[in-house]
Amino acid sequence: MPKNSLFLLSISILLSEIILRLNETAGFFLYSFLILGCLITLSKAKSLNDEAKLLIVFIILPILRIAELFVLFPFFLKINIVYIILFFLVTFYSLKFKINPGFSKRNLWMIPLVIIISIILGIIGNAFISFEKYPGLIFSIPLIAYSEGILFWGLIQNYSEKNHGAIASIMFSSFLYSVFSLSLGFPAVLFIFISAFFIGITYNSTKNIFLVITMNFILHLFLFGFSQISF
Amino acid sequence: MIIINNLGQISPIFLTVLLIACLILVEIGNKKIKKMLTPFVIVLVILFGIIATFDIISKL
Repeated sequence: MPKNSLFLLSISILLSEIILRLNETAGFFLYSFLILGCLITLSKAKSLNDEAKLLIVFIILPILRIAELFVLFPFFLKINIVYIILFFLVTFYSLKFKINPGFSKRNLWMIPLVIIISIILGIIGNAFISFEKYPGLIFSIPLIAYSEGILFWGLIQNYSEKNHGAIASIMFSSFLYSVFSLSLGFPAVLFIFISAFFIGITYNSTKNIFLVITMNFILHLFLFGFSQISF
Repeated sequence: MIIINNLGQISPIFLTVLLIACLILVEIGNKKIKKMLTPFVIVLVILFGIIATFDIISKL
């Protein structure tokens, strides 16, 4: 893959996501071309190196969007189905690639610190941006926080770091995460990018996925779960 | 949360075409990569199954 592959992947996801918001069929085609492009690149790969693994875990994103387009169930059921698919894919690839996304006791003492940071971020987010609240989502948040944590930081950031360095990998995972929240509006995307950047830095410096999941969990609780808290 | 609330309907034919294209491209790849891409095909097949089942049930 070329050196600027992270940039190309980011731009292609951004374009697909924008087009999807404008026209669903066109968005579907763009995402399909993205998957097919990745598959063609992979079919030419001679071995399963870190770049190929990054491309494989990257394909999870367009696959999820396409799943969303066709799973026409009520919102909460749809969330659970899509995140179960994500859970299946991230678990499969973590095991198959024999990568430890950061299941360790190292730096666990930082949990109170990351809880405080997440609460502050959650309060700031609620203060400046009006996120739509889904109190019923509270039971699904552990699944959401876990699956997203493993995908964006445990797999994507981990694999991109190996060939592109720490800063590029943090930017890449944060960018992907925020682009996928484009439907929430630009201020929310900006806030989510900053939050994801904090999570990325935490993961990069601690290599502990539990801290990432905790941060993501608390942020989701504040931004989408609690209906009473607004400042 | 990376889910979009209000995505609507597009024709299931597109999914069928994508599934076939994916199957062809996965077949072209080497054996190791082919194995690694199996979960994506499984997800697409399950989606296809869900859509087909609901379509049949709704027409009964």
